[in-house]
Amino acid sequence: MIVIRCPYCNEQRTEEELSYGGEANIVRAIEPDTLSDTEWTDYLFMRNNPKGLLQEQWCCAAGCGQWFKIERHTVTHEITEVIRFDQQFSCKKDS
Amino acid sequence: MTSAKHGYRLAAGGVIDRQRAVSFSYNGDHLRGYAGDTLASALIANGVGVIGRSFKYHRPRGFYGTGMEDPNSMLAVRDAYGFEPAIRAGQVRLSEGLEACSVTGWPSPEFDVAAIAQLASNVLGAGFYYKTMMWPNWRLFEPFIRRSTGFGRLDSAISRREMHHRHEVADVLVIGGGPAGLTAARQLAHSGLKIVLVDDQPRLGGALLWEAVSFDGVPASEWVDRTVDALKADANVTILTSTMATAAYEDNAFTLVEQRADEHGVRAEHHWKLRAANVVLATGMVDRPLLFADNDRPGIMLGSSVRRLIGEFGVAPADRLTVYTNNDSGYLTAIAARKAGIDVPVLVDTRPQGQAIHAAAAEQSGVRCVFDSQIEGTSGYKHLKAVTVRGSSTVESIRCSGLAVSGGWTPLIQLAGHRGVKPVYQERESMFVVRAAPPGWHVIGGAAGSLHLTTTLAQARAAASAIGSDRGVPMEQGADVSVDCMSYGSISPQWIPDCGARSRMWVDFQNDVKVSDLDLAARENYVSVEHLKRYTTLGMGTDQGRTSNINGLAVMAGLTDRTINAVGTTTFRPPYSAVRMGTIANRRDGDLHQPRRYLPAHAIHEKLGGVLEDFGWERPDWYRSNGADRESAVEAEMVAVRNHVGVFDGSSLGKIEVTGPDAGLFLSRFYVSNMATLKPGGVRYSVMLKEDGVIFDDGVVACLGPNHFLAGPTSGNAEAVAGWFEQWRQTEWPTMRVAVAPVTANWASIAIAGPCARDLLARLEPDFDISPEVFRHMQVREGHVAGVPARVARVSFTGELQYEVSVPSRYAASLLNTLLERGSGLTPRAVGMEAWLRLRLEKGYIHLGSDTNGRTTPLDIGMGGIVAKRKDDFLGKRSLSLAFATSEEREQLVGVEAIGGTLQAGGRILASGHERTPCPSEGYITSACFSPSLGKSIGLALVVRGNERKGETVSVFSDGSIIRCRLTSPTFYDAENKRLNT
Amino acid sequence: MRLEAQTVFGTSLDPAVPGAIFTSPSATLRERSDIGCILLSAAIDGNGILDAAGEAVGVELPATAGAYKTQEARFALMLSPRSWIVQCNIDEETALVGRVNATFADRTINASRFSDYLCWFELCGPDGTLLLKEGGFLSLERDGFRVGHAKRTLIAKVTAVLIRLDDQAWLIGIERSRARYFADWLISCACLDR
Repeated sequence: MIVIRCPYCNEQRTEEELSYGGEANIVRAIEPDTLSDTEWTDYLFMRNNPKGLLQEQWCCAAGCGQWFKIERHTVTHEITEVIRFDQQFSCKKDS
Repeated sequence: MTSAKHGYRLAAGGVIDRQRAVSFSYNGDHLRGYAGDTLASALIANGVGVIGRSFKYHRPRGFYGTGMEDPNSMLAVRDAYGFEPAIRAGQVRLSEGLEACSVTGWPSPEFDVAAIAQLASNVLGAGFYYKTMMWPNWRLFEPFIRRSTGFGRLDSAISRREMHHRHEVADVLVIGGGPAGLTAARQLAHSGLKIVLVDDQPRLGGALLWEAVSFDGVPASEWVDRTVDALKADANVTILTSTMATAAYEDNAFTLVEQRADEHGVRAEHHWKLRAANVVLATGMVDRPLLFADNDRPGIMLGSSVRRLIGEFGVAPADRLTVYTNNDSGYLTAIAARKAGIDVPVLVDTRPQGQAIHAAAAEQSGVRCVFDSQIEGTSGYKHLKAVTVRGSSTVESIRCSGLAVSGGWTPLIQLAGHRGVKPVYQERESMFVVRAAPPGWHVIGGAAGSLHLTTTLAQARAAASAIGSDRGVPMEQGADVSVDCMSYGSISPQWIPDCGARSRMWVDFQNDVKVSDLDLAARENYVSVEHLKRYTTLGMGTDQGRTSNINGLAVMAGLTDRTINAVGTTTFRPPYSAVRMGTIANRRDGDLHQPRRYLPAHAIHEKLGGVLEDFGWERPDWYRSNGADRESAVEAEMVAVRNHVGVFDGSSLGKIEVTGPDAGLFLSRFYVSNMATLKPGGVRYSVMLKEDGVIFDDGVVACLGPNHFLAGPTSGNAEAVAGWFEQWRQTEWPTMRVAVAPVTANWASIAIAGPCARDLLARLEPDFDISPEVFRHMQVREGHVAGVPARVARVSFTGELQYEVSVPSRYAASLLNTLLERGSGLTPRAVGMEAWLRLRLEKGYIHLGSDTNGRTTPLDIGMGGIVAKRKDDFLGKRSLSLAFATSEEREQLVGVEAIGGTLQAGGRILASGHERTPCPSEGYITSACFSPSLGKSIGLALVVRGNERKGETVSVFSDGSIIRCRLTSPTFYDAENKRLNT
Repeated sequence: MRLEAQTVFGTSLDPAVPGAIFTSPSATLRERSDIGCILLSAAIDGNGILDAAGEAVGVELPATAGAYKTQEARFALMLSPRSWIVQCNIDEETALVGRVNATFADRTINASRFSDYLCWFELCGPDGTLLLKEGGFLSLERDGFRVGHAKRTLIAKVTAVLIRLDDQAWLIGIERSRARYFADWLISCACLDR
């Protein structure tokens, strides 16, 4: 059971209350028309799949509805960082 | 069947209640035991020797252990509340009227005709089925093999057991209520921490219930009682007995299965999910078998189980018991047996005399000990008769009816294994232990490999102190107790004996895996522990290899000249012990399986004879009030809409308010059509795409006023679309001044459709002008209808003049009633889902998910013109210029008319030039129905290059026959849109 | 002409009729159809607009999750950093929506009718909390779910707005279409001997 403290409502949330949004920091181009087909399809499909730390997006879906970023170890599920979207500071994970 | 050679009840001893006799039955025989017995101890006390047959060779098997570790005693058990198709006898507490029966052996475990398999044992080695049953076909052999194998018996009777789910959070979870767990919990009690102590037995104490131990000079049972009383005095301590910790997950979440029993059986089961900040793993350890020829005969049992039978249940497993050991705990068994009056002819120790620390004590109680000796073989088919002992220079045969073996200790660390811990082999104690415990965990006592109680108690106190200081809580100082008991001492393992036939040495009793099978696996290079397991089935039985794994991998290490650590263990996965599917499912069946969603006017639909089906919501498919059967009712409903007026409950349609200064711009980024240009009062239909260009949803957007829009996604996607809006607003466009508010359930939406729709709407006395030149097609009005706040959209799904009237849900029933009652002269009819979908099919409107699939783009459904007109960007637009979207070979949406025969959704369109199947396909029918308006069978289809093939005749494979069809425009009805614009 | 209002559980909407759905010595579940509410959604961040909105609805809007603000007969709780539920008497809904939307003509804050979106349940009795815990973790926090605290979470696979009124009383808002299922589920838990 993955548990994340939501940086917005400050409640510990179980994975049933959360939804997963894939790898974080995949930025959409402001003018997609200027991208080549390769650049656009990289944006669509190419993702990192490391055995180790990964920044990813999660949503406090059944709670306050807010999206945030975390850094998670894909083997141990240890969460090393929780980052709000509106303020680019991170909260160290407790318990 | 009872004979003095088998087990019997001792005259005294045990923690059973000898005042309370309990009757039960085994294979129809009526037997008696005592309250406090397990089914296993009661059966042994009644002299039952053969409890089952082995999986492959159908060898007679007896009780090998007294608890979960026993590979042999699987039985089907019924109590007053429920039925267990397969459970170990040691895991069942005796209750009045309990019925147990064998699940192996036919006609009975005592006499099993399939035991003839033993004669073929030389050819039935590892991998036999894989190698032999290949030709001509596995299915030829399968029925016989299935019948002769398997553990368990099914019963369809409904369980009366009550099921509960519990979700709790604790500071400390202590797993195991033996001396280690009790000491740790006692120390942590009264500290303010919330503690949950679980133990799988109904009575706390663990091994203290049967080992000869005293604390500060008083029997251990008194210490247990005192400790439990002190725990119960703390309101923050929860004690769960008869509770198995079945799995451990990330963030210290556990599942527990708690059984609540009364004198008639297991009355209720509570399935817990529990999360704890700290975990004390005090699960103890379990004895291991020793390998020797014919080590599987009934009467041979783990030494610790013998001590438990004597100490906890007052039962002797045999009247003449030999002891065989490679460590000092075997001596405890011999001494306990002597104290209980059991004859112990000899104790056989594989080690030299100098290593045996308890030899003098054993000899003092009258046990002859022989050293540097091994058991070479045993005799007795259905019950042990004698063992052959080979010393350094002697061979002697010892007559006995029981043999207690102890091959060393295995700590129970499976739960740590669930968390990914790789156990490490500790050479000196020859056991696998946890070196790096998961965060917050403390592994203590037997689970940590402690062989002496003093060490165990010290570990428990240290764990409690560590947790206390970690959490910054004050703790009572635990007083040191002086412990008087015999140590389990030391071990010198000897994995494979020097004498006896390897093809008669059983490693896995349940799956009949022998040392010779491991030899074969090694020869064939199945030397990785995971391959070994799957090739030989070692440890794959329902006992999860509790008695077999360590011996198996130690033998493999020896065969391949590797260390035991290099071979390693297989991966432990949840559950630790079998959990019934019903326990997990709990009450989640029928109406409670998934949340059902009901329309606000549900009661009215029921009253109208609506045939409700699950469309994500419970919605009427058709109404019995409109016809005797589905087809005639659906046709009557369709005719009503085409000729006068129909009333359809569309309340499940999504409603999302999008508001704020940037609301229009925001919506324009999602929809293929530019919603930013929508004026107040206007409504526009469009589709939205995911970034890959594939259609995600369709629906109308209404502009209710400046900066105020109402998006109407499909019923099925209403919540997903709201989530999609929010995700982009928050993560990509945080500076847009917009808010997204899903309000679907707040509004009931009743559609009225048909030539008389306006007349029917007028009878609701709207407080705004509904005349056709003022309130036009694709417009919306806010005001009051029938005296209540309402939003009315003039949109059409049916091709007829249609209004969608939305009122707060509390008025839904009343609105539906009023429409049907006030429509006198207009003859309105309630219309169900099926008629509604057929009406739109006649009109050629898409039904998302039927007429689109995971590849369909707006270019494929005739929206290319709208896409081409959009100058600015929207989600997915860029993908529409990728080669996949612009390919000539796309499947495009067209209409299909049957030239003869009946179209069915799913029918495949045969490639040009083919008239018979099998052949390539060029698309499929996505929706189909018989159209009463047109008098023929019509459909929509996704067809390769469909747009340029309109007018072409194709063959369609439909439900077994091939019919001829013509490809047409998707719009079959009122192509000029005269009717919806009236 | 005026349509007749009905509650989720089928009784006519009359606050004088207490809508008990089930009662037992250890728990009572009733529908609180007298409770109305509106949903406020802000298109921008900012405390300035919060104050103005609070003034329009007559109750201070909490700026932190979990806080449940009371002012006379009105209650407000934060649903997300940009949305609030304001509870009121069901008869006041129309007036409140009108006041907010008049105050914010550009819809930087929008008020939506919400009384019919949520079915409010009141669950009371010594076993109430235990019943809810059959459906999920009410809180993973060490100090649990405090009285006077509000939270949105999953119970029995359904999103619920939970308000802890006191030790033995909960106010639970469930999306209307799922309210009957939720009640069926609670009843199935409560009917068992524990």
